[in-house]
Amino acid sequence: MPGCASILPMNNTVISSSSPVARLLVWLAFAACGQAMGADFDRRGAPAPLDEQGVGTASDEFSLIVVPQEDHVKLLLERFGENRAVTNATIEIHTADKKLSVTEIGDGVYRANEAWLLEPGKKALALAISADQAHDVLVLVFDPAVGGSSANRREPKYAPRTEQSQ
Amino acid sequence: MIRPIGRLLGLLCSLIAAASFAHPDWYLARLKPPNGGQLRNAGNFHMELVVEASEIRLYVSDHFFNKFPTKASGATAVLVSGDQIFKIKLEPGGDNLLKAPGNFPQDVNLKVGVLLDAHRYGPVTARFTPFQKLNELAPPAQRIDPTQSGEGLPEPPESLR
Repeated sequence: MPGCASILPMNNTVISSSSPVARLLVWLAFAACGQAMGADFDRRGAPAPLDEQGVGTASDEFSLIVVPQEDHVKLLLERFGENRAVTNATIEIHTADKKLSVTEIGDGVYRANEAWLLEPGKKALALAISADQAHDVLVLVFDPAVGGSSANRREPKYAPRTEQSQ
Repeated sequence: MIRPIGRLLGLLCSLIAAASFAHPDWYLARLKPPNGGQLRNAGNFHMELVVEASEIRLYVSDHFFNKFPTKASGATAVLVSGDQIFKIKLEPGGDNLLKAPGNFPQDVNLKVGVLLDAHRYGPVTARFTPFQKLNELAPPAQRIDPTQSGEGLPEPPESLR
């Protein structure tokens, strides 16, 4: 724990002391520091990482990233823990007083066109998702100022679907 | 000798405080909720949702389990039961309660998304699976200090005031 070493006084006053109280304090400090640092690595319940930067949310069924774009909002949907795009899903976005549907534009990539989603400010969203006979609801607080195309430095994992010419 | 120990004590207290008062959902799942519902961590709050056949109730508290007054707040619940979706508006019901009457499915696989508009704190969300019951032997979730009701929350950021 290199971070913890720096909390000790440079002259080693405490460590060299034979006082049991001082030794106990040092031990407690290391124990507490270990607990605090260990919490950083505890990712139970955290959304699975996806390629694009945005706001993430997950359940035990689905994992979703909402990415603000210039004129629309992009949603990337995966099976939780399987790293597999979810296609042909029905997604309804609910707010306190509005409801909208999204359209699929690629494998696991969906698009919401409503302009009010991109208005400044945080919005609480509930996303009702149906796919592969699984039904779920995910929630998140979406802020259009967070993430987005300017923050994306890598190619998206799923390429947009190209329409087949007849 | 005294000074380094004092510093160390201060650091120790702050480390323990930082590590103790943010309760993740897996920890809350080990507690017995005060109103028999399901507890969730949501931003600055704890939410407890109770779904009965004729009423849905949402209790809001801070991380110390002190009640958060909800008379100026509102909430919306989106219930998903199989392929059915219900959207319910919850109204203040006194104290730290938001509730709505209705006929609600008592489905083991029911999933509920709650959108809370907390007065002065803005939007907060939580996801519940209210009928996936928890450990009956769990210790009860209790308020840390009953005299601190409503005082455990930090001030909301400037932009929300």
